[in-house]
Amino acid sequence: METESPANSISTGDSRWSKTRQIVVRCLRLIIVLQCIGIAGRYLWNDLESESHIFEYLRFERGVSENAAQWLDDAGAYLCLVAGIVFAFNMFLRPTSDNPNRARQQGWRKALYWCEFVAAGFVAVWCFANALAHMARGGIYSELAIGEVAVRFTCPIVLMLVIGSQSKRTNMATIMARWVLTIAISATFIVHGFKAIQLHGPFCDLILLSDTQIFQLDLAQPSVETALLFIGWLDILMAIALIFTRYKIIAIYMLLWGLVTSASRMTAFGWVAWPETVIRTANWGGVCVLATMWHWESVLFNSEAETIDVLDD
Amino acid sequence: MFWLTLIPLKTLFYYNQHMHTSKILSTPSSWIVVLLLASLNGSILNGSSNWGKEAELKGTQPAHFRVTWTADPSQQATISWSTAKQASKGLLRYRVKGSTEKFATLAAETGKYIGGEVELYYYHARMKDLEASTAYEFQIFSDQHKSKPMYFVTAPNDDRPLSIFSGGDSRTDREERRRVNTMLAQMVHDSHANKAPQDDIIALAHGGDYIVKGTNLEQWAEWMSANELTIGPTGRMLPIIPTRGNHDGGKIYNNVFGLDSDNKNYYGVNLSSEVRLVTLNTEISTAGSQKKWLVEELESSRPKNRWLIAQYHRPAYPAVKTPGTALQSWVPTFEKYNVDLVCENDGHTIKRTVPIRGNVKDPSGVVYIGEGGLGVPPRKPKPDRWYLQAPGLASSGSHIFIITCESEKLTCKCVELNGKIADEFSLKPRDLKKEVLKKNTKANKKKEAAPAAHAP
Repeated sequence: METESPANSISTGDSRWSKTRQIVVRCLRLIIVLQCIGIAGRYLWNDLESESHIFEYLRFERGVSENAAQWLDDAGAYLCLVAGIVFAFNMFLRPTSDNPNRARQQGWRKALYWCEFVAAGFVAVWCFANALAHMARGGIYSELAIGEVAVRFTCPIVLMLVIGSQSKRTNMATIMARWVLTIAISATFIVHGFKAIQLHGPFCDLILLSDTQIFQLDLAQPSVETALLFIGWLDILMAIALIFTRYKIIAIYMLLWGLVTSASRMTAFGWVAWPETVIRTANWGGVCVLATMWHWESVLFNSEAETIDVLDD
Repeated sequence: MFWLTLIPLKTLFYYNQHMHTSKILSTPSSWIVVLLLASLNGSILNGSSNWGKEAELKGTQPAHFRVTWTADPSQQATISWSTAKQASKGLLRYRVKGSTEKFATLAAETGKYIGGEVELYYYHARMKDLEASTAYEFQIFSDQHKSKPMYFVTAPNDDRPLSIFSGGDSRTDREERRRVNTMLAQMVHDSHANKAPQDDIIALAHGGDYIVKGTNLEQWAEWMSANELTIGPTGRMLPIIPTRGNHDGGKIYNNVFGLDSDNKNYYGVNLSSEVRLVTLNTEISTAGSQKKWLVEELESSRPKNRWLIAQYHRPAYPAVKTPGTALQSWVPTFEKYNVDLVCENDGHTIKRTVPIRGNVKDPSGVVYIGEGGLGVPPRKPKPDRWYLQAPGLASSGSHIFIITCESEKLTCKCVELNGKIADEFSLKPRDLKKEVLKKNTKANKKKEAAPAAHAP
């Protein structure tokens, strides 16, 4: 009976690990690209151009001149768009393929690597600052703004942690990345679940207007509110379960529900609301990444176990 | 004495509006006269009549006086006030102004404002079975303290002409808010000082966003204090018809306006036998029960009223930002029932849209005005939006709209804080028979089936 040599085993494990890692990085890039397109769609390309919470905070709470606040707001949105282009570019050039250390060492790849690193940092900071500004400005449930959009500013952070990890193998950075993402997804679902339990008006409207526009089931508000109560509790339970377990069914639920709620912006308000759907890509995309990370860690665990078995033999 | 000072000041104000200020105020002597008159005027406002400044909130001493109209204002009103410590008794004594009849006594409902780090107590005296278009003088008694005498006038129940203020967003700039309130008090006073009945301002339809954070009682306390500046020089109170804004979340709002804790903040009131004002709440579901209520409300009130006006906070046709859900939820209903005028807020701009029906300009459509400027930093509007083209407009600055309803026309005038008229237009009463026919046109059917879609 032919036995696999230790070198072969490590090579196979590395290959599987590397592919999984690539999927994680690509997924994250795609999510952030879409998110950046959503930001540009909402703040730059919309016929009825809008301003972010950062603008409103600077203008109304800090008394910054409208021109300065507008300039900063537009600059933020344009830089997010530029960041999105950087991620899209890197998606095709794959500077982190196989060996992240190598990517950091090669001249132009090294430049792209740092561009991506800076771009991810900017998107994370911009999204976080927006949530912080929302919190500071007040408004209904504004105190929950950071938790509500946690997954949006966390995906770029996770990307930074993953592409910045020094070792081919799992290390503290990647473990931290998984935990950061898990907590962010949970926070996002818990806040949305809480708002659903509180029968948040706009959530009711998403269902009722989607019904009016598309499904025409003539839903009544009390029925919608009952559904929201159920959905809200389910969201919270799933979010908590996500922290302590790794059941695929939880990830599948969160992925599908994240997708449905993102898409509901368009079903309720029409195609013109596409930026509202696209900007929420991380709500479901983050779950995809997390599930892939689980797989990544299990591949790594199995490959390590195989290697140890072979070496023991 | 007050009149002696008011007349020359008003004359100066008039000249200020119609001539170059520099010409009037170019000589030192004219400045001396102005300063003398201004100081005299101020001393009278703040001294002898004691109006024009806020009551002190201390112990069980009553302050934060306000009158709220949320149900039939020709017969009912809620008089509210606050104290810092809970009074063992809070009473309202009232009678028809100028009469010799005995004062009626009304015990106020009391409770602690919910939430916030500050501890304050509210009192609501609910006056019922009042006479229409009648001045009621009242005084508040709180333990050993009593307020100054004040009065308010109930809404008419006949078809007399009247005016109301419409405006919102008084949340951030506290000094500006105080200046606007002082201006409102003077405008109400002036409107009743002449013999023309149509300009008599009877209430303020407030479009929401009173303060920054609805759960912050300290901010509400400041707003309630500043609201006292709307009390006129003779002690006349300006009733508020409140709307909830996106910054007014939380339970304090209902405490402030004397509403039950589960009140959803949408209602309709008749300001006369022919003027109906419908207040809606954009901060809860707009498409569910509220829409159902709106359809029933407009279906019943449209045939009975010459003028049908709606107010709410987040605009369907904004001068900045993106439309709220009102666009999908309510606009088709407004068009179906031919609402005359819609007052919107939130944008911190000044706007008037073209008449809109089916998301296009249509002479028979609905005009949307407002956007809020009662004490907030203004914003630059986006005048390139199709619905803000002439005869619509977009501008910015602290302002108030005065809506005058008469039998022949509804006039809407936007007055800025400096007295400048930013906009003025009038609408003719709808020929409802024609409108019903128009409602059945193909375009309108299409519109009802698929309302205009915009991002939320």
